[in-house]
Amino acid sequence: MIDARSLPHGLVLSTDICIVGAGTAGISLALEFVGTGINVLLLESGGTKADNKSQKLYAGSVTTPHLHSPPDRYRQRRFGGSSTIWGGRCVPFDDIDFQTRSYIPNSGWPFNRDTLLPYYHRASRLCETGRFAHTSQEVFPGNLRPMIDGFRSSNFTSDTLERFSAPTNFGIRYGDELRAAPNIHVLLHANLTALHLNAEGTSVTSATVKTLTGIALKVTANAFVLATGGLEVARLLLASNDVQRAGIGNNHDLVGRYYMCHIAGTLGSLTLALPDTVRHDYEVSDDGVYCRRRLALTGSAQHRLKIGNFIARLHHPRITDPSHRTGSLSFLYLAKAFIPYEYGKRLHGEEPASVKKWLQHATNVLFDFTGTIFFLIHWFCRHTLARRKFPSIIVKSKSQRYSIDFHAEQQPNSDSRVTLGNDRDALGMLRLNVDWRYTDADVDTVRSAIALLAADLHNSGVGTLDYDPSALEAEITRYGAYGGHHIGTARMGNDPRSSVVDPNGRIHNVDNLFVASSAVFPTSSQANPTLTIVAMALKLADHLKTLHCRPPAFLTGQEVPLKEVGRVKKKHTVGAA
Amino acid sequence: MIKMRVLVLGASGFIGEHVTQALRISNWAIPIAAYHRSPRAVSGIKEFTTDATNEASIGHAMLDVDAVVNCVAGGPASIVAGARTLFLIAAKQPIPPRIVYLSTMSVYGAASGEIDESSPLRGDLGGYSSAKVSAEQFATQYPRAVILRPGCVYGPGSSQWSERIARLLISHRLGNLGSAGDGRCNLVYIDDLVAAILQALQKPGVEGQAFNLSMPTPPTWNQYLLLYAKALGLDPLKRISGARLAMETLLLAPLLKVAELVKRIVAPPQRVGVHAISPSLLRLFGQDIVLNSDKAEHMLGLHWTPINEGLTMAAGDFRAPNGA
Repeated sequence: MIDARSLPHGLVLSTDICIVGAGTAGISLALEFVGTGINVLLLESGGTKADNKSQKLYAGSVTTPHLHSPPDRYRQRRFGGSSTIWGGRCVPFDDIDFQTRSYIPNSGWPFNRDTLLPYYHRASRLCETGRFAHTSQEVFPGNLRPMIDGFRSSNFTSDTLERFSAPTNFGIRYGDELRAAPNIHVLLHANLTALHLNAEGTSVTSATVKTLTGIALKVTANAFVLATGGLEVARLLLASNDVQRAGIGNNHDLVGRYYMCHIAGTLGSLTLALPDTVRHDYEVSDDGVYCRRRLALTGSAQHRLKIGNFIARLHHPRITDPSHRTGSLSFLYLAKAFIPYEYGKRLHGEEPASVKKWLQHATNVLFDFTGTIFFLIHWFCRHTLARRKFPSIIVKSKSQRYSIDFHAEQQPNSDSRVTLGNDRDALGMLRLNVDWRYTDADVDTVRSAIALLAADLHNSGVGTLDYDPSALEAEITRYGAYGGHHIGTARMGNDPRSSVVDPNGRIHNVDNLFVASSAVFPTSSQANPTLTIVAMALKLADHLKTLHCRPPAFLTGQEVPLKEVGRVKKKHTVGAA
Repeated sequence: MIKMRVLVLGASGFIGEHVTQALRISNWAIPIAAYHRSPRAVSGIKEFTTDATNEASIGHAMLDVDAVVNCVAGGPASIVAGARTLFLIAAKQPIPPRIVYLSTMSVYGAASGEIDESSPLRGDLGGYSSAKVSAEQFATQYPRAVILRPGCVYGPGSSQWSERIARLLISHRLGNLGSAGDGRCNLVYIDDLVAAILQALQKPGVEGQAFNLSMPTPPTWNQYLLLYAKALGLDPLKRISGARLAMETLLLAPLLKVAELVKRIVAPPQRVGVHAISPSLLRLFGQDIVLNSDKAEHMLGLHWTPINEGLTMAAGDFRAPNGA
């Protein structure tokens, strides 16, 4: 690995493929070229550890702050990217997510799930989630009791599984492999600030890279891949406006639009008719991976109701409300100052803290002292000390009451968008403004799905789900957009008038600029995006290898022959870029 | 039909024993088993007690044999001395016998990537590795030698690659090793190795050749450990942290080495059942080396035992150690 701050100002670096961003997408992509004759330069803004100055380059503004976390939260500007802090939940997209659904405007991917299937298998290996098997029938054949005894529904299935990564920090896990590969060069503290097009706007000729110490470098490559997250892809495309004034790929005003997260929250109170009828805990697969069942709305139910994708998990009661009388939950409330922002957000709630509430939680801990100690020992051994971590807190309810934790698709909406703001960061780049919006259709997905779930639970005779339909929208927006899932800002499609990148992830009409990021997802699914991000990066790697075998127009006629381009070398010096 | 008289040096070892048995039941060979320690008195097999480094001893064993299989294990010094003696005495025979010499993939040292027989012999992984390179130099000067370079030989009774690994898996000292287990596990099932040896004894046109022996597209060590744990009924597999592995190799391995030496003094003839994860073993787990065995497939006509089949056999044996 090379520290860009140690390189001379004005250096020109030349390579076959320049990947921007060493997160899950960038590292997965680079790994695919290890041992090939293709030379890769992997640019990373941060170093191998968290650094406040680098992280601040992510700062920006939010139009409606209570609906979206600040842009420098939930994403990490360092080697390994946000995999350095992620929770590890891996879920593939469903068949329906790839389909064009008449009732969801702008839905439909340019290929179906089968196209991604081989990449999902490989992505599972990289994410360390064992084999790609996401149904309990495959993973635990005949071994599991039902998730809820007696629950019968043609609308929801409890057969699908979410599988959990270690969670794997891609920087630590794959850093040595990248370091050892002679054809992969990782450049740390190297911030891409602009991509430069040729006069016709059809090809990226070079990129400007800057360090926080004032060094500017130039990179030339046969292909560039933006492997930054869903927010930064839009920022870099919009900011690279020296030839195309609206930004690269933005001829049809699409870059930054259709910004989606997930509609998520916790609501209601499910009271079970009989004790000990629920198994909502983690199971461990034979390959040692934590797996968890959930209630997934079937594709046919989605079609019938004309709503988006939706899943629900049985969850503990809201932590901030001490009436749950559970010591371990109250302990978390009392310890919230020590819990990272990304995981502690729901502990803070919107109600002001009070001495009374604090005392109530303290009382819970005292009266449930044994339970609290047991929880802490379990957490310390199975999460804190363990290399494969117990993923989250599971509380078996003594009162047979659970809340419903839901995670739903947000529909593509051109008014939900990110734009360049007015402030500039330390490198002179315009900061991002996030204007995340949800629509009635998003609320309706949750409203219809919850109502259906309540009816199915009731009709099965397993319990009663009480919730206030009139407060549903308030519950959905209580914590705003689900943090960390940044989707859709450079959407993929066949038609340049309605999409930014083509099915291979290439920016329409720019022959050597690609995107490996959740930015290209046309729709958001119910699934967390990481596994699909990695799968898409692997798909792009295969495509780039094909191009390299049979050079298309943009790979020919270069100043330096292909076979000599790869090695990162000093060609000549230029003035400040 | 005149049967081939084959001297098996190191016949008491894991591989030697299998080779001797295979020759015994063949219809074309008569094995002559040479042991370092006392003979086993296996019915129908002529036996010797030999010292592989002693010229007179080897010369006596080699009288009237048509071929030799060398499966002798030992420390670096005895490997080199044994090879020197073997090829020196063989060359002095009225009709020098064909010698199948068991070398190792360790001769390629710390090399990475796909390795065929023309790759340089680096021998840079310590005493054993460099001793085997020196031994091969004696072999290459002997015109009738066939050199076999197997990877990790596993199967029922393999103390190194089946029994040891099983014990470490059972005690949760091995599991998924993360990036430490990303190296490739060049496995050879014992029956496949024996088949290769038998072919190397008989096939024309293989003298003066070296052959890599490893299953095609070998798994990573992590994959192998998972498959083996499943075969042993040990799943789910635990994840072993890097810190834990460091403790194993830096602290526990030296202590176990001392314990092993003490135990040897106290109880000399017993097999020592202490298993350490040595730094060299950990390095092997991470070594991205793939033995290309195409040449052996083509010239020796080998077929490889599927890994699941081999691991099932290995696990079964471990569960019933006296049954083999």
